[in-house]
Amino acid sequence: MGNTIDIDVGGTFTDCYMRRGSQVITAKVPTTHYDLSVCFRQAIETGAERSGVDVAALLSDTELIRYSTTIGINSLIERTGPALGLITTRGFEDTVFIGRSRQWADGIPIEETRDLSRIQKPVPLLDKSMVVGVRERVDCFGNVLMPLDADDVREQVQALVDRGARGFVVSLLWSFLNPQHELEILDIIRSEYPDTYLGNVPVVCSHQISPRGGEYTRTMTSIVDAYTHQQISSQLWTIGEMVRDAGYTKPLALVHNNGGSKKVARTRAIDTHGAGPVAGVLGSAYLARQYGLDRVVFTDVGGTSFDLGVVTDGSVSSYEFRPVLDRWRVQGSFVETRSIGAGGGSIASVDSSLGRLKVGPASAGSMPGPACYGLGGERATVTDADLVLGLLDADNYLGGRMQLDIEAARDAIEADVAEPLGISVEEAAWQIRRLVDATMGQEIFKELALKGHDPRTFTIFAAGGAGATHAAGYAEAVGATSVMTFPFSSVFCAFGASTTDVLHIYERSRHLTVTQFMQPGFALDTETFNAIVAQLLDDAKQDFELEGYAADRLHYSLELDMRYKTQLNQTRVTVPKAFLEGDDDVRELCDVFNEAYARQYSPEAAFPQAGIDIEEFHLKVWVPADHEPAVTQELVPGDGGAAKTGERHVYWGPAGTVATGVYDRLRLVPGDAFAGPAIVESDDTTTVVPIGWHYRIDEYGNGVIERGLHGDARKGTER
Amino acid sequence: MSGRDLEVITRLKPEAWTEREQQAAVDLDRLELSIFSHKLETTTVECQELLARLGASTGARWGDSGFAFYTAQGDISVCSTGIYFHAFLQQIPIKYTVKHWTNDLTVGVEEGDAFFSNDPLYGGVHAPDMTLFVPVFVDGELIAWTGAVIHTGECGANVPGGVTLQARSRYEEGLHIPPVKVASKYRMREDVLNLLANGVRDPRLLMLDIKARLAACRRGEERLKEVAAERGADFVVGALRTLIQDATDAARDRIASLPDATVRQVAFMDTVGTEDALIKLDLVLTKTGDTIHCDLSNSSPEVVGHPANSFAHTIIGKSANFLCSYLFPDLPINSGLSEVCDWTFRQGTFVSPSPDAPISLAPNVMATFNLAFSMACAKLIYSQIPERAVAPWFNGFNMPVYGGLNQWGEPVGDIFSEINGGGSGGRPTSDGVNVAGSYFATLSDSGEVEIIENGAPVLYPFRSQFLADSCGHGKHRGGAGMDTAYMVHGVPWVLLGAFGFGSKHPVSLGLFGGYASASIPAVRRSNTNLLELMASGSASVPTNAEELIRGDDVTGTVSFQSVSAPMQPSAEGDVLMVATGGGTGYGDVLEREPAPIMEDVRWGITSQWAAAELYHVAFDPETLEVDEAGTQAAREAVRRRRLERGRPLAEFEADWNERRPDPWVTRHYGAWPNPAEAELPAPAML
Repeated sequence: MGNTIDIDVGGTFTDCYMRRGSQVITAKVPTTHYDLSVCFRQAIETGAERSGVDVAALLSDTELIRYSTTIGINSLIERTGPALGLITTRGFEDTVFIGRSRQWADGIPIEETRDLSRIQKPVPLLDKSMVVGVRERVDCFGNVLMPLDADDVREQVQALVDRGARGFVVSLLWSFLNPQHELEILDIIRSEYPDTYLGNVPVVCSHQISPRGGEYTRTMTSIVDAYTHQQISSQLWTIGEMVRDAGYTKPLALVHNNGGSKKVARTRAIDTHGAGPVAGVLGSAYLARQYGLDRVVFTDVGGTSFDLGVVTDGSVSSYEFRPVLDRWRVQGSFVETRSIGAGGGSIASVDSSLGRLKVGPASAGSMPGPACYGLGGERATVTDADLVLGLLDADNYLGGRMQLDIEAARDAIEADVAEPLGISVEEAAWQIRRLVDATMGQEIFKELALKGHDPRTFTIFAAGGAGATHAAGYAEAVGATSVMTFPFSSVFCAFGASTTDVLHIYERSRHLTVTQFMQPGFALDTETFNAIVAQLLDDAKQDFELEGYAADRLHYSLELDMRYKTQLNQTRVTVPKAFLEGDDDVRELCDVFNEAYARQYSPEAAFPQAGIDIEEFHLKVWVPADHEPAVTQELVPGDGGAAKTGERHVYWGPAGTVATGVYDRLRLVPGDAFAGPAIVESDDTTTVVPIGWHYRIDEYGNGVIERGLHGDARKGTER
Repeated sequence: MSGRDLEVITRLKPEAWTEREQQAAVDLDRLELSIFSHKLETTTVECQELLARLGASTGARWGDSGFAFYTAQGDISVCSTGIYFHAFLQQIPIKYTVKHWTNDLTVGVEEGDAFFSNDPLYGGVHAPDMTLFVPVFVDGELIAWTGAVIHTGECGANVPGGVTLQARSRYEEGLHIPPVKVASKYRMREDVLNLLANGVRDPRLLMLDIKARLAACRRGEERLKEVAAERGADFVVGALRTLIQDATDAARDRIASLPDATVRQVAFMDTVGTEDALIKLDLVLTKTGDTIHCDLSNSSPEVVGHPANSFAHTIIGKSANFLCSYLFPDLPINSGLSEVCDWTFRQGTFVSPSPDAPISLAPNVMATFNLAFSMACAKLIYSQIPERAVAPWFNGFNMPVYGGLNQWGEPVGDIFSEINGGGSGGRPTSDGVNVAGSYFATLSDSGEVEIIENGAPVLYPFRSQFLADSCGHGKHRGGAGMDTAYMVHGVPWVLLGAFGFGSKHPVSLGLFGGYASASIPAVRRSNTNLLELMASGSASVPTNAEELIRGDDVTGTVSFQSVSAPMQPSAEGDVLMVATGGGTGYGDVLEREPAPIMEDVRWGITSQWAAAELYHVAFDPETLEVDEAGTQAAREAVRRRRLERGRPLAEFEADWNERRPDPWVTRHYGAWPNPAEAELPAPAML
């Protein structure tokens, strides 16, 4: 495997993970929101500097640059996309404004949905004047009930052009089943408006972006894609030019939210949203395989948010049930990640009605940030609590790059929490920490439990600037006993990007009955089933060929969304055979579904007599990336004494103030192990080892925090 | 047989602390309590999600459901968002089970049991609202209950779809199951499931919903046991009860901060199911100290032989709607909130009928109460918390219903999810939200046409957001409603009908001078040629209700009905139109700026007629350009006319009291104008 560079643009920082032979270089630079190519360049420059080569030399011997970006979601939030025109079925022009009624609640935390006197729908991505209806109709069987009228289409499209449309979305009812009318409209637009006019103006057909049922979510998926397309493509063009000018000759690849990466030219805008945390989950899956762990939860604690994702059996197996981008429900197989408003910047306060402590979801962010940053923030935050407790060093935060103001932290906690609750500042800080750890822990617990797992058996991977500072705390709340931290924890998502395969998921909605209600035997039309799979496979082969991969390099896996008849929910199962030959194959398919259902929702919930339907096909196709095997080092038993830099007085709640050893992470070597309480400091994060926990450096050079006695990191988690 | 228990049915407030609870709460750590409360709140979201994932009925799929944790005594302690009153009312069957089955040797309450119930006399709303609850045991001690409710849209009544407009007594309203054990030792009892399934038209729907409820309850049970294993059963017992007390104390404080006052509010229902009639709900709300007293005794008598009644417990349960979403949106959702309300009903009225009264249309009665209660509360809280004194959401149901075989040959019977397409009310500083959902179910979902057409034998000719003038007008108008039509498609025929009220008298009134939302009928157009018109590609294929009703090229007969429209066989090509109403207006129409009015005209939310005649805006009907001076003059003239109309109160009252509707309209009303002044009719068992 050649040299690679992976860059993850986050909300606050842009992370870089470079692999040059066996050498790994990481870098972290502030995200430059005004022009993301600037932080992209700075990240590469910083990495080049650290590896001791100039940028041109670095890029000329780099095989692959992969990139995960937030540009798309930013343009959604900031509403900086182009004026789009939507062409839809006449009589259904309001679909995107109706938004299944509950649009006002999509994308906001559940606690903010309770006060009904304040609800508000989000400002739409396109104005009502930019929606036109054309005469046409297809029904649930895919039959054309009303033919498309080309003159009507021309007239409506011209109206949109006159109103300033800089992009078109075509989304008609039932187009995923019969795309004929959408394709006709596409032809008309292409023939009426030549390339010189269209240029970079996207024309997006909903059945091509997401061939799945549900007109609101399919239309929103298409709108979000078109809305973010221009900004993403122009940024990528700038970045592409920049790296090419600097000597890079290979294509640029993008990390996709479905869990793979593809070349820029083979990427749709919709594929890129939220790819950062997804890369983190993929990196976790990679490491889980390296360690032989079959249950891992990836956690990332930043300034404002806490992200998590689940890895079982060394792979990512679950996708968002109801994916939402910003405030919009969309369709797609997005690797499931969760995000809640909890992090270093989360604000602590006391609820005046109940007299209870509250932490988050409001955040002081990075500007003005926690009170101790001295940047104008006056509210007590989690970082202030960590500082007051003695867990952070005011003089050595981020390797001394930022001086913290402990008095400001104390004042804020005194005013906001200690005084209202009538407790000491230290106790208030302790309670803030306990509560935020419990909140994050419960989020982990819920996510794991919802999937039918026992959360206590999971190993927690701690990433992000504050992950290692809080991981043992939220592990405690989950009941987990093992936490892993990595030297590259603070750029974990960029690391994760480096582990991605080239992958795409080909999808199609199709209602097929497998068994009938209370009737023996099978009703599945296997010929139709096999034809759909064959079509998806053909699509995949063509697509990958364009990317430069021959059919014999492709790996496949077929997943189906199935349900008991009349349920809305579909349960995704991986099917044993892609092509079905007879009743035995169909029976096996039913068994797989019933078993998955019983496992996920309890055996009492399964109801095979209800009849079973297939609703969606997902063909996952990938070319595995070549990975450099991780290097192990000999374990030399030690107590870390050589790395100990001193002691700090830390307030540990019920245990009171305890002199706590402080260690320099860089000086610890594989085999070093010691008991908590302890603090391990490095340039980009502080690891907290609470009382009752142990810390050790394993054979890969990673830090392991375990509850109870010394033991193997995998003890109690491996099955 | 233990039979009905009309004592348990009144117990919606928290039970007194038991000695066990008191001891368990002595050393409760406040921080641990916060963590516990967060954990259970998170779990309720998880369980609510399970209901949506696994349920099969429209109710489960689109948000008409609720989940909660209850104390061992049956008091609600932690509740998910969703339909609050369902979770509150579920206290009653749990309390019934505690009282009657715990020590009954033939039944008993044991670990691994699950109980099912749907009888309104045992705490339900009406038969389709079905509940399932399970006891949580730790070391042999009953420490809590978990419970889940879903509206399952088919319950074996005399017509499909769960709600019968024609019921003359409860015995025509379908399954009535008092609390009965459906699972023991963590296994469902197939004989009991068979019994239940045997009584309904769509057994699959019933079964999947029961299994969804059970899966949610088991998940909750599991979570609570995990806490008990970690912190001990004492902690759970003490914490569940303390959370209720916390809510009580905080709610009482908030009520005490409001001025003492008496607020009177009447609200009207305009149907008894199959016939129009005017029925009055009279609320006198008196706030003293930290308590609100609600007196409904001057309400109309029981509607004998029609299902337009609702038991008192459902009215009390309904108050959770306003309490949880508007008055206490920041407090925990539990029975502690209901401590602030005391109630007076007159037995024998339509809000407290005889036990055998039919009550299928209880949701209409509850909606009527909700209107009166939310308006009275808005007036009460305005001086202290004006931002929460908002005009009512569309308060009706407008629930289209179908039943028969679908296009795949499968038996179906349910409601359409456009019930969740109402607009919310105008607010002190902004308009209501267009198509915001159902007033009674937070986070409800109106679904997607393709998903619905995939399972129900209909084709939507259109579904759009803005039904012109559906909202109440005002300084801040209500959110607009939804315009929908259903054409029978893919089958020879199916039963179509609708359920709701307010086609003659507005179902939702405005606040502080704002207008009521529009009265909306159900409209049928039979034997249409829509399919032929479509096939011809005609430009005259209708795209909204008005075009469908008035369209010259559309054939077939049009009939206007009350939205309370009994099911009737409808052939392929027949169309039913049931729009959803808008929210109500806030403040005087003359104070609304002309610019947003014309914007609304442009998008069809407000008609040109309303802009000119209600808002008194002078504008060019072609360009919609506003004549500012003309508008000002017109509005000044209106204000002058208003002053001219003014009369001394005594004079107004003398004239007003002379008026009354036609006696036929008030035949179910009771004594005019005050029903309390007359004897009540004798109940009848039909």
